[in-house]
Amino acid sequence: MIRAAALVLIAAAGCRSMPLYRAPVGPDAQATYAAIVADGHKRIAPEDEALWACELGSAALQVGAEAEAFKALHRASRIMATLESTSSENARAILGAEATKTWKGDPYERCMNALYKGLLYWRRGDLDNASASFKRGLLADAWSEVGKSQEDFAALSFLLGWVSWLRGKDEQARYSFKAAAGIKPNNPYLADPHPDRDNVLIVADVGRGPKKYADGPGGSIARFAPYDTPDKAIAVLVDGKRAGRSRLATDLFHQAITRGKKVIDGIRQGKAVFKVGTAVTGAVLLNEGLRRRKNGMAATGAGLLVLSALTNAKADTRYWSQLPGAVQILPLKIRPGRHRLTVRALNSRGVPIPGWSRTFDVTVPDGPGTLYWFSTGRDRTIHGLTDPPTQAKASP
Amino acid sequence: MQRILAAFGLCLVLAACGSSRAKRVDIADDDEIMGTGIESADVEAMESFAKSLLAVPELNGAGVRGTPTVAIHPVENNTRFDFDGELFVRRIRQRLVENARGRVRFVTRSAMDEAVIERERSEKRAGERTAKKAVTKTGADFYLTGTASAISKAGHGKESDAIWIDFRLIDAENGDILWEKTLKTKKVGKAGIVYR
Repeated sequence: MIRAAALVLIAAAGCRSMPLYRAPVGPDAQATYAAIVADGHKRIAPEDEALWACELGSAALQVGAEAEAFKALHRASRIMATLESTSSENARAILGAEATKTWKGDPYERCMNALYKGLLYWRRGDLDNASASFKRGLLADAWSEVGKSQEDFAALSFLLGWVSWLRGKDEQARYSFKAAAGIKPNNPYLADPHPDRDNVLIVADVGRGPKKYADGPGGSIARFAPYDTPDKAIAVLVDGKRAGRSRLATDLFHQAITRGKKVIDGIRQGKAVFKVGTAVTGAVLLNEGLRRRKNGMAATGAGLLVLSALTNAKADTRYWSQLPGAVQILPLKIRPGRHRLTVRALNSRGVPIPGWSRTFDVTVPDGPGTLYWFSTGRDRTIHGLTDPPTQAKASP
Repeated sequence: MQRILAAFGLCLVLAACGSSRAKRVDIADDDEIMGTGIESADVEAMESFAKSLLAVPELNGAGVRGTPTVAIHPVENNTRFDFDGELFVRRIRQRLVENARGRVRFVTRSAMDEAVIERERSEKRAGERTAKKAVTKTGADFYLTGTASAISKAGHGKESDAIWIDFRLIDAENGDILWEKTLKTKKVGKAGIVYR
């Protein structure tokens, strides 16, 4: 009896006091950004802080609030950087709901946090820290399944190669370009990079990232589903002339499903078995205890039923909902000076999607290493970071 | 037994409530959120280099005429950790100024100045810069540079980072390395069972 009560207490300790954080993402980028900022003024559960900050970073990128995006992504990265956990956090997540643990993202989410931070450092002219961020992302990918899925995030390898070349680190550049080309040999830009010739590098977020959901007995299995959206690439026109189209560097759905089996997956499945087992045993004991008028047996049965009800085998389904489906790249050679860039979303046949385009006035500086970022938004427009931010270089 | 079980359960519930308060610790102490990157303790350890640097004969020897000027550059970051390279500069400069007592002058240089310095040095070597012009924009006799490098590994629920931060005092005229020290640190982290 006492033991059963203690177990009930343990299970109860693992309950979340607040619901899981879900970013209020809508089709209007400005409204989404404002709503996520407003969420920050309410109380965000500490275990969801990194997720909220990642969502805020994405939303800020979409509206061109570059400094805010950096701040948010940096805030998240400080939490996501270490995967150490306390014993009380372990106890809560194992005995109670997995979602009581601090959200630190799956490897592909940690990679994307590092990728965005790297891009933003790059745009500030801080190439050292851009390089550091891309390296951090590549190491985060190493937490994926052992084997060929480790360090297969070609976008990060390619960007590290490009930024290394800009820093004069030719050996690192060669190594990283070779790694990127080895992962995606069909991408001509990855196979034959020319940072010396192509003075503008475009990084494009296309489509929507994978959705995470709970499946299986008691929702104990975490699965990912892809979103099918019509935008598959972007085409760029410079002063009305077609300059090129983006090519796939990294597919995030592929990254999500090749993360490998985790220890916590086994624990959840064990809890699901325990939940069913205690429910059946509890029901039998309660029934028998009442029938035979044995109070102890009935009470044990009732205790087991309560314990079963409190056992939470459900997988943690929190995920970074504003990630793109793919990261694509497009290196271009553009004469320095003022230009009009038209960016169009392309469908699976490479045909521009009507009404899904936007024009940007840019001033391409002299010299290599200009970085532009575009995203095919949910509002069927193109969001972008083009001319460098004017704010002073901020420290991390 | 009943009391022990009840107390155990109560402890778990209280642990779940997670009351916490910030506390003041020494800057050189490791904290609970360890990680495997560069910590404040590493930055503090670097300050001990100041005395060794100032003992270099070219800065402090009998033959030194006038007040030599050392330009301190931000630490170049080749690790996977993003950090403020100028934090190192500020920390080491403060300690150097404190110990030099006016015998050596220190100036800081941004990363962008490095290209200018390199060009000036090349011009000097090529004889394109006259003796009069040799008083360059940098105005420095020596450069103090730092480079952070690392070997980082991850897998099987663990990660490790071996980090070396090399500091060098370089003669601005000929590029000779006059002094060199390395700060070394290696940290191994293990992912919690709920993240593995």
